[in-house]
Amino acid sequence: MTRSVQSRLLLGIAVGSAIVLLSAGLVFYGLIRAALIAEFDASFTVEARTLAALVETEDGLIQSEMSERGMERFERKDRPEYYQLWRHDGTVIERSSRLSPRNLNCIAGPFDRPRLRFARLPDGRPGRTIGVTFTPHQEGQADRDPDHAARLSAKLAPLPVTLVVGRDTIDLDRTLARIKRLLLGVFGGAVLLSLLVTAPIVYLGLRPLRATSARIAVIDSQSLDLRLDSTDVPAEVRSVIDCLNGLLDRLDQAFQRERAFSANVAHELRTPLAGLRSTIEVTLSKPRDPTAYQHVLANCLEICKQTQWIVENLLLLARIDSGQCELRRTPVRLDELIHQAWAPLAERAESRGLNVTWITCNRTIVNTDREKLRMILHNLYDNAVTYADPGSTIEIAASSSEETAGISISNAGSSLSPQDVQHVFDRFWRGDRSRGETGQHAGLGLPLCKELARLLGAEVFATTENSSRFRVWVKLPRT
Amino acid sequence: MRVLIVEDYAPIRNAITQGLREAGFAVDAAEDGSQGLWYAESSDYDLIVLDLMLPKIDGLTILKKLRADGRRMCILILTAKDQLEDSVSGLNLGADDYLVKPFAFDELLARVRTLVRRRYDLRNPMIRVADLEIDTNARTAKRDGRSIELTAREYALLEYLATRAGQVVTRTDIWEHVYDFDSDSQSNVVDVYVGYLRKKLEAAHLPKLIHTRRGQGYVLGELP
Repeated sequence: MTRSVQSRLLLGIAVGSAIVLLSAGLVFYGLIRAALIAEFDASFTVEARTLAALVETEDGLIQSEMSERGMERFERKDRPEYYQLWRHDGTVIERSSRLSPRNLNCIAGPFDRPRLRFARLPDGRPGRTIGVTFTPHQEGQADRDPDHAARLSAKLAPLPVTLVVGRDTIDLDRTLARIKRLLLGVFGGAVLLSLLVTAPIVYLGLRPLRATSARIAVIDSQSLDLRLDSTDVPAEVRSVIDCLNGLLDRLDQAFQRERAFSANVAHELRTPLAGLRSTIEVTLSKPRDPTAYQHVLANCLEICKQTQWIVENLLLLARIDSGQCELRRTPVRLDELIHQAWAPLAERAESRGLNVTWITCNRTIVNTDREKLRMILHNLYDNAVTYADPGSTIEIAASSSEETAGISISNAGSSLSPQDVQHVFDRFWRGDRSRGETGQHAGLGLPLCKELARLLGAEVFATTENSSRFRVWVKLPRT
Repeated sequence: MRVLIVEDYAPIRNAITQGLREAGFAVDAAEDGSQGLWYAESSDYDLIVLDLMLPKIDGLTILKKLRADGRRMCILILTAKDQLEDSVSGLNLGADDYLVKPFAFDELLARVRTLVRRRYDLRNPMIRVADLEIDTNARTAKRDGRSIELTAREYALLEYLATRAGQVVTRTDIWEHVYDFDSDSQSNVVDVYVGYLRKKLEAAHLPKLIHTRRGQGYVLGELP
C-alpha cells in the first residue's frame, strides 16, 4: 500500500499524541479513582466502627442496639445499606431488616482491621462491603463494679463477632463515569487539535521534497546530463539528491555506452551493405563477360560472410548479456582442443608465412563447455594471425595446476601501448582510433572472448611485451 | 578528370574505382589515411572522395590539412555515420558535399560530375567551343553537328581541354588530370593522344581546333 509521507507523518503524530494523552489520562483517572475510593472507604470505616461500638455483651449475651435505634439508612426503601452480625462459630446474630432473609458475604478479618471489598449486594446493586471482627464490650459492668467485670471476664471471656456492612457504590461509579467521559472528551479534542496544528507544519516541512520531485520529473532519457542542485535544501533531502545525482551519472554513462554501441553496430552493418550495393550497381551498369560476374559474385559472397560473422557475434554477445546462453560442461582434453581449434586458421597463417610454436601440456582434462572454449581459442588465434608481422612466430602455450589451466597466445607485431591494452576487450575498440576497418576485425572478437570466458568462469587478460609482442592469457577453472 | 578515392573498405573502394573509371574518370585509390594524404599532396586531383573513418589518419584531419595547404580540389565526404554532426563538421572544414553509406552509385556519379563542373566554373553540362559541342553527361562530342567517335581516353582529354578552352594547357596538366597511376607512362603518351584527337576533330577538312604552343602545351579553340 502506498501512502504519502505527509499522511504517514500525520498518522504518526496522531498515534503518538494519542498514546501520550491516553497514558496521561489513564494515570490521571487512576489517581482520581483511588482518591475517591479512599474517601469512600474512610467514611465507610468510620461507619463500621461506629456500628461495632453499638454491639455489646450483657451477662454473656451479645446485644446490638442497631435495630433498636432504627437507623434510617438501613431502613429506607430506596438504596438501603445492609449489615449482618455473626458469631465466631458462623451463626447469625442479627441482620438489617431489609436484608433478611438474604446474607451478606461474611468477610472475617483480623481484629480491629476492617476488610474492604467490592462486591455485588444481594439485591444486585454494585457495592462495597466492609468486615470488622471485634470483641463486644460488656455493658455497664465495668462502670458499676470493676471487680465483677474482672470476674466475669475471667469466667466468661467474651467471644469475637464479625460485623459486615454493605453499601452501594452507585454514586461513586457515577462520579467516576463522569470523569471518564470528561477525560475522553479532552483526549479526543487534544488529538484533533494536535493534528490541526501539525498538518500545516508537516506540509511546509515537506516542501523541499515536493520541489525535488518536480525537478526529477522533468528528467528523461534525453536530458540525463541534468543534475539536481543540492544547495539550499535540508540535509535529509540533500543526501537523497546526492544519491540521485550519482544514479544519474551512472545512467548517463550507460546510455552513452548504449548509444555508442548502437552507432558502432550501425557503422559495422552499413559499411558492408554499402560495399555490396556499390559492387552490384557498378557491375550492373553495363554488360560484362561471365568471368567478371563470377569475380563480383565471389566478392559479394565474401562480404556476406563477413556481415554474417558480425551479426552472429552481435547476437551471441546480446544472448550472453541477457543471460540466455546455456553451458554444457563436459570433460575436455585441453591439448587436443588447442590443436583442433588451430586447424581452420592454419592455411591463412601459412599464407602470411607465420610459424607456430606449441608449448602444451599432456592430457590435461578440464570440465568446461567445449564449444565455447573452442570459440574463445578461434577468436584469439584469428586475432594473432591477423595482427602478427608477416613471417613472425605465434606462440601457443598451455599449462595446468591442480585447480586451473592456463592458455597463452602471443604474436609479434603489436603497436599497442600498455594503455591501449586495457581497451582491447572493449566492444568495437580498435588499436587505431580513426580506423574504420570492417569485416572480421570489427572490434568484436576479443570482447566476445571476454564474455565467453566470463560465462565459463574463466579470466582473460592481455599484456604487451616491450610494445612489440601482444599476449592474451586465459585462466580456466579445471572443474 | 582525375579523382582520388580514399576508402579503407576494399569492396566500396574497388567498386567506386571501377565505376568512375568506366564513367571516364582517371581514378586513384588509397586504402588508408596516410596513403590518401600522400596521394592528395603529390598530384593535382580534381576531386577527392573521402571516407571519414580511416586507419592511420582520419578523414577530417586530411580535409583540414588539404584546405590549410590551400588546395582547391573538390572534396566529397563518404560516411557510414548518419549523424548530422559529422557531415556538418566536414562541410564546415571545407568539404563540398557529403554522402551517407550505403548510397546509390548513380547518385555518387551525379554528384562527382556536378562537383567537377563546379571546379571549372561550369554550370552547364554542355560545353561549346566554336563549332565543337561536348555533352559531359552523355560523354559525346559533335563537331559541325556531326558526332565524333572517341575512345574513353580521347574523350577525357577533349573534355579536359574543353573545360580550359582558350588557355594554354601544359603536358603536365594533361598528365595530371587525364591519367591515373595505372596509366601507360610513356613520356610521349600525351602527344600521341593529342595527335589521335586532332585527327578525329579535324577530319573532313574542318578548321584546326587544337593548337600547339611550342615549349608550352596546347590550346583548344579558334585562333583569333
